[in-house]
Amino acid sequence: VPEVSALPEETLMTTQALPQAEPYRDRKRHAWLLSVLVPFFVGAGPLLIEWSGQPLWSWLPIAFIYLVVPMLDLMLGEDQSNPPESAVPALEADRYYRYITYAVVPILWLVFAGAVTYLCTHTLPWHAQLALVLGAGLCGGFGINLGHELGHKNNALERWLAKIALAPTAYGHFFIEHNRGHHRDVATPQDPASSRMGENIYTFLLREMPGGFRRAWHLERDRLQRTGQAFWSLHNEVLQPALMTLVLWTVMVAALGWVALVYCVCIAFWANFQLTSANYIEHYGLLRRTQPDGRVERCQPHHSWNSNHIFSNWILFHLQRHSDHHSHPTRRYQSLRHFDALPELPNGYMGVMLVSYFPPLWYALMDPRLVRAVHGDASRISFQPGKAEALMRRYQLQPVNEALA
Amino acid sequence: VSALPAAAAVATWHCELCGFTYDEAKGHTPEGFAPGTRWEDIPEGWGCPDCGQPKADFQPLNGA
Repeated sequence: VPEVSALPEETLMTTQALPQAEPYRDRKRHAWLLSVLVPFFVGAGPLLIEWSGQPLWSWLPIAFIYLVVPMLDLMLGEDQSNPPESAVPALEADRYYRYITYAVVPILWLVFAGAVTYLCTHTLPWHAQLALVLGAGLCGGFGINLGHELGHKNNALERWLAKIALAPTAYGHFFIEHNRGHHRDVATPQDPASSRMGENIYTFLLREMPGGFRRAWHLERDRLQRTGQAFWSLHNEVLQPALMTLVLWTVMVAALGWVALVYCVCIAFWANFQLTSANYIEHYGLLRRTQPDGRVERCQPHHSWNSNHIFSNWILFHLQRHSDHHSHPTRRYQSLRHFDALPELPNGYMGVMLVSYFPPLWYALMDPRLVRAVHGDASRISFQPGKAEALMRRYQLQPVNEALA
Repeated sequence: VSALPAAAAVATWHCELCGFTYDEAKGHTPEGFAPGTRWEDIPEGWGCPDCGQPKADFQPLNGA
């Protein structure tokens, strides 16, 4: 495709003189409301129990996420449509899309505080307690997705909303570590938020959670050293959301007793594990190669796994169009695009994450796909240490090159 | 800009990935760079505050 600026002037003028084509209409405009409704629904376990009188109904949102959403993705299929580039500035400027993201923030706080309060004040069978923790945790996972979308923007309002969205589940450090750490190191073995071929999700979890926290801490420490501000101060963007978490959790414990802390921790863990799961599947095994000059090649679209499944994209603010996100990190969700011939996941995130919790199934599903995605080139695979030889034998891969030719 | 003498110093750099711009005249206080901080005085290990791209991947916006 030639660049517009490269076209002769007459061509441009002719184009302008043509009658205006039908203005672009975003067919997904109203579908994004699902990104508000679904987080609310998965956190609505207490309401479902109250309305039905049946503790078992608390499992409805869990079944929805892990069974219904993957089925809907299978049935509704993929959407590869893109907005034309000419429509993107108007799409980005349209505040409607922002207001949708803002609307999710209070839901996150309500669901978190509501679930902890309900769990502490009702006698429930163990399975309903589990379902409420999982549901509130899944809602918190949508909160991290929201914090991700907002945290990438470079204006103060959206960055503050990102911190507020991430605070209930104690993951405010994420937007620092993600923007400046993960985006820098993505698809390298050094990145705690990129998984390696042969690494199961539970091993990955032990690398991802502490690694992400350390990286956020170091990045923020370096920034504050440059600005000359004290690390232990309100200028610290890791501490700002952590203080919000401290206040919320303290209020919960003060009002409901120490058992509230147990629920806070469990819900926060399941929420943050949703991020671990997303990180696990988004770059599995893909490697940016080292160039002859010793630098790592730039992140390319083929360094991310994508999914164009309609339904899960509607409820995840297009997070699954991940290659375009890494190519244009500040691009808003409504403008993210599909590209052909990129690594593709076989289902949306919910379905694929569920498979990842069963490592043998995951390897069977994804390892052959990974080998195909890199055209059998082992120099484009990030291997889990100790697993490379066996995997190369199994998939008959060529030895890893020293450097990018 | 093109009318400026070729010797005019490059004053604005931008991140090719996300479009973040660093203007030497303005500096960037949140990153600890006072107005007037020259590009060469920015640490090599520094990355784009919006998307983490290394300093080496920035391009000059003017004078190019």
